Amino acid sequence: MRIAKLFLSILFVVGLTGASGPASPDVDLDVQLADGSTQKVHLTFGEKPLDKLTRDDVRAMLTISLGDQAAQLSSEERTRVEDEIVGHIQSSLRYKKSPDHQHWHFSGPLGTFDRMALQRGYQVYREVCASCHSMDLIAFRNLSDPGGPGFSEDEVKALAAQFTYEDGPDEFGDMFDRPGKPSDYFPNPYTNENQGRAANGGALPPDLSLITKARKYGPDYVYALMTGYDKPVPPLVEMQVGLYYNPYFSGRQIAMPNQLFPEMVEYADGTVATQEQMAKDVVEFLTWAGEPKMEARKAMAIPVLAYLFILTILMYMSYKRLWRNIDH
Amino acid sequence: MAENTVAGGHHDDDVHRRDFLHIATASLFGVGVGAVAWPLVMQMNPAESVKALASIEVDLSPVEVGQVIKVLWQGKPVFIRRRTEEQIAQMEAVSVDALPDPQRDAERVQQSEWLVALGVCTHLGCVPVANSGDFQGWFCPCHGSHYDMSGRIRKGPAPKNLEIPPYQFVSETKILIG
Amino acid sequence: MDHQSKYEPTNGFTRWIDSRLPVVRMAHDSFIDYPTPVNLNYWWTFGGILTFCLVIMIVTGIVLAMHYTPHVDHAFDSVQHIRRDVQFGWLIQYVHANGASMFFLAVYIHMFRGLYYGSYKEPRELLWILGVVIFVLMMAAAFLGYVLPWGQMSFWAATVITNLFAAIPWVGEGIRTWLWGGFSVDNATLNRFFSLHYLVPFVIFAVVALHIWALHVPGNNNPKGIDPKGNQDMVPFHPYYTAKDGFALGLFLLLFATFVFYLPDALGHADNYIKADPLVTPEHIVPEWYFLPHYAILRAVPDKLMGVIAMFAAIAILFVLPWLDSSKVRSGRYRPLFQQFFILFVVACVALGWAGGQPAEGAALLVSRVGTIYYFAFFLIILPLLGVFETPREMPNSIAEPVLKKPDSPPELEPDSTGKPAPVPAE
Repeated sequence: MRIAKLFLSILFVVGLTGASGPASPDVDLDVQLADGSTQKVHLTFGEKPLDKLTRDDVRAMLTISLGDQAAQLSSEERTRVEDEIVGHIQSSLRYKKSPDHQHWHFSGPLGTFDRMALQRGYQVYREVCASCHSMDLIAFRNLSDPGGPGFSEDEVKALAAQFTYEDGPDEFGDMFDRPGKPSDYFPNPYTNENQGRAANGGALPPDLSLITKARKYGPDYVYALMTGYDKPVPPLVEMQVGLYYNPYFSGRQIAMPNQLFPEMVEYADGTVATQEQMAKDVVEFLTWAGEPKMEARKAMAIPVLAYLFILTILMYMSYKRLWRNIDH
Repeated sequence: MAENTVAGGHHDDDVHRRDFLHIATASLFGVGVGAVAWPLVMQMNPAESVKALASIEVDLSPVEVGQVIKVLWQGKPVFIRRRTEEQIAQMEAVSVDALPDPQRDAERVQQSEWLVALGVCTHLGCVPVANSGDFQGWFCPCHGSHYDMSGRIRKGPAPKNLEIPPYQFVSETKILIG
Repeated sequence: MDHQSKYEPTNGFTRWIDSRLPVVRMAHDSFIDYPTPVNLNYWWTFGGILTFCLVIMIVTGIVLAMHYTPHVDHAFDSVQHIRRDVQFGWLIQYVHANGASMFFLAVYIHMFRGLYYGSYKEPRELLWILGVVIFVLMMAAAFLGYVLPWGQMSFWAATVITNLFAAIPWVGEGIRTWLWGGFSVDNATLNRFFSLHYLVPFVIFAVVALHIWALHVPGNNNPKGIDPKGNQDMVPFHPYYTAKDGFALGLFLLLFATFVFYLPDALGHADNYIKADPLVTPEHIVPEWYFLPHYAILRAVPDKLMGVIAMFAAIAILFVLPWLDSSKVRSGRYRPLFQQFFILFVVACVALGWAGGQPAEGAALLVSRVGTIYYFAFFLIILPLLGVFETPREMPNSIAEPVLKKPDSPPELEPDSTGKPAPVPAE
């Protein structure tokens, strides 16, 4: 047992040091002094957050850490060391931030979708996202499915009929246009992937049918991304052409600019369309789209678990009763 | 060999109670097995996406008088025949009593010019051939069933007339099947 | 443990059957009247749980195959079609996907139990080996099945694993191309993986039958690791162990259902909800949790070929385990030193699992190397030497013995003057 405990504590310590990983804001590096000797320098950026640091801060910290030896640094060496530290900070700033946890109507074992939020979310998707993002797995008929946005069948027919679909061939072999039907899937803004890439500077806008399942932290991530454009670009980050700073995106630079501007959609139910409201609504809608049967799943959970619970108790009683006179 | 260890001290006094407990447990277990069978059976029914395609619209305007067309509805053929005045009169004149599946022509059409019938032989599900057979309606090549211009069975092994699918005229020249 | 069959056909029809094909007799002798040691603990319930898992996986798998399309253009969407459009499809698909994890959870517990209580030792070597065969087949089935949804993780798992074979000198490249049926993981690969994924479970089923057969010849091992001496050490399998297994299965199902209904994606990866894209590799490729220890061993070795060999050796070594352990004592209960090393072994396996989920650098790499060394040392050094140096604890003479010595045992089982248990009337 003693050996096991020892091994466990080693693992624990190793695990802790490993956990800080490459995102650590501390820097260890060797500095070449004028007299030819090398000096080990340890820099900690504990006080100021990384995304606020400037090159001047780096210079000042380096001077402080070197103390008396600062004077012995040649200007070339000082620039080299500064560049190295800046490079380290830049690579730390490529790690995306974890999104904050939001409370959702659909969270938890009893959570359901908020019908009105789903309908508003559909409106945001349709008026804002749909011009670039497809949702290939969703058909208009799904909008009236139980556990969904709760549009009536007539509303769904009207929503589908707003779009024109190419159908055919007819009996003469020609393709023809017709209005959309509930059984049609949401139209794709692009005829093929290459067109989507070409229209967006080489970055294909992903299909949104499963987006909340296809990203870690799902709904929280999409919400954080949609509302994460207000953060100023950190002084040390060099932005690539055509990309926008968003700390929640992988690499923190994203091809999609901010999309949600206050009051850009007019909600039928009078809800004020703030950026946060639109983001919440569209995330609710996208989460439903990712798993339209979520409510069915949660509704079935309670009877099944209750049944299994009672069955297990009965099995336990049966088992104990059978074995009551058997010594083992 | 093993029963010697099986103790039975309170054999008589609680046999009923014990039996009830075991029966209750086993029954509840059986209910669970039955409940599990339900989704496993139901999954074979048409999926939502299949059900959504259950109806089609057909444009009748290109169909000439006397012509038969065949359209696909729910994976099965549907015959649409634009009948001539003569054919209509002929069909309405048939004596119903002598038919294997007695049905008047008027019961089988919404507008007498248009016969819409499921193209599946009521014998064993083959697709009958149009404008052939003894009655010039349809002839099933599988086992030789003859249908007339009203899709009624007149001769052969098929027991029933060709089925009429649910349809409605959405305009003068358009029908919605399903 | 060969025992006289006590099955008696009750009517003319069953007698007629019994004299021609005694299948009912076989079932009766194997699962009802089968004499089982009286002292099996809850760790022994996983055999039944595993049988249940296999049946669940086959049944749900057959159903899913009715709706799944093994084509690179449709596979991903057909899984979503099952989730969205097929009646109860979401339930069946979640049960199948989470069932794989539950299956492995149960099989690992089952294997650790066999390891601790020495269930692989004479005369149960073949029983153990058949178990390892089942384990290998399970791994194959799980890998093949994971590719079928054709998400990013599916595709890249298939790519990475098939590339392992390219490490084999001379023929590796050829084998890889042969496995692919093309020049990369593509439609031909998906099709054959689907075909094989459908086949393997039935092979498993057959080997499970042999496994049970090989169990019923020597009979169950038990926590004391000593052979039953007579009637007082045994009970019939039914109803005693059917009841106990049933209760344990109930608990297991509660866990299973919690995952299916509340955490259906918790054991999977977000990336597998992105359709396979041969042009983009996900940032962080990891296998499913049950393959993480093997993945850690693979990456612990700096050389590609040696890494592959180490990973396969980690499984292959289980085949010769019965001949590596030199101790004559079966149960770990009476082996004080073995207990310590066994706990360390479990810790090493869990640590390997953790390390397999991390990027192969820094502490994780160190843990995977230490873990790999300990894993092999346990089998190749510790087990062979322990039997020589370890002094086992004193062992009871029979399964029933310490029980009978207990002062508070119920009166009807109090030993009589001759020291034997009082005879008890039959049920």
